[in-house]
Amino acid sequence: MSDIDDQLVAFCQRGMADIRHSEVLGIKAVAASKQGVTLLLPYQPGIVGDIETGAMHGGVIFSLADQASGFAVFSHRYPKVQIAPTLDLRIDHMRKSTKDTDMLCFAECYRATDNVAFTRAVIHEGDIDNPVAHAVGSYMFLENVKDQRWLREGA
Amino acid sequence: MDLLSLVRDCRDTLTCKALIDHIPYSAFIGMECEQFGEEYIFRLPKNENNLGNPTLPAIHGGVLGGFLENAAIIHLLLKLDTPRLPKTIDFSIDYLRAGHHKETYASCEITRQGRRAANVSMLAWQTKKSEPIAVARAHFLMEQIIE
Repeated sequence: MSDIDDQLVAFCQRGMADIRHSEVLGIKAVAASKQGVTLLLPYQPGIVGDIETGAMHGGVIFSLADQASGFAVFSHRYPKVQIAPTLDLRIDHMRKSTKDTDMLCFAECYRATDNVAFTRAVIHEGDIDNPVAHAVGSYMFLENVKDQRWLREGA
Repeated sequence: MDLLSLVRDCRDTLTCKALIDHIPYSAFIGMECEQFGEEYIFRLPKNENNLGNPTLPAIHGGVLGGFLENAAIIHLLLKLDTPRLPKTIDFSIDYLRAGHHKETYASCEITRQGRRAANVSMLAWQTKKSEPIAVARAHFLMEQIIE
C-alpha cells in the first residue's frame, strides 16, 4: 500500500467520524486508493430488516453503498478536495444478506467530468464474486465547498 | 402472532406501530406511520443520528433511501394481503433538494402490482408535498398474495 493510500484510508476514517449516521452504523474504512474504496459495515441486530432470517435491511445496505460511493468520488479527486452530494443512486439486490455477518462495499468512481462523477459499487460478505447487491450512482460536485473541520485536518 | 394477523390488527385499530416495530430497522432511524382513512403518511422525526454532512447540516442520503424503502415495504404490507415481507429487487432514488435537519414525510403509491412483483413509487418532503426532497421507485418480490 502506498503512502497516498494510507493517507486516503485515514482521510475516509476521519470523515466517517463526522458523518453521524455512518458513525452510528459503525462503518469503517478498510482500503482506499484513487481506484476505489472499501468500507466495512459491522452486523448489529438493530439494523435487521427481517427478524425471521436476520438479514440486514435494504436501507442499511443502501446507506453503505451511498457512503462508499461518495468516498470513491472523493478519493478520485484527492488530494483536491471537492464535496459531491448524491444526485441519484440505484441498487439491485441479488440475494439477502447473512445473519451475524459483516458487510463490505467496494466502490469506484469510474468517470468524473467537471460537474458530475459516476460510480459503481459491489456489496458482498467477503467474496466479491458472490455479491449481495450492486449499486450505480451519480454525484454532483459542489461549486463552493464550505469549510469542514475534517477536511482541514486532512490537509 | 403471524405477520398477516399483525397487519390486520393494524388496519382494524388504525395504528401501524406494531407493524413498524416488527422491522427492527424502523426504530434504528426512528420512523413512524400515520393512517388517514386509507392513506398512509410516513414520518421521520428530526434525529441527530440520521445526519450525514455535519456542516450543512443535512440528513444522510442513505437514511432517506432507507426511510423510503421501509415506507414502501410497510405500505405494501398494509395494502396487500401477504404473509411474507416483500423483498426488495431494486431501488432507485433521485435527490431533488437537500434534506434539512428537521422532520421528513413520505407517501407511497403502488404503481403496478403483478402476480409476483410490485412496483412502488415514493415521495419524500419536508415543507410541502409539492416541493419534494427526493423521489424513488422500486420493485419488490411478493410471495403468496392472497386475492
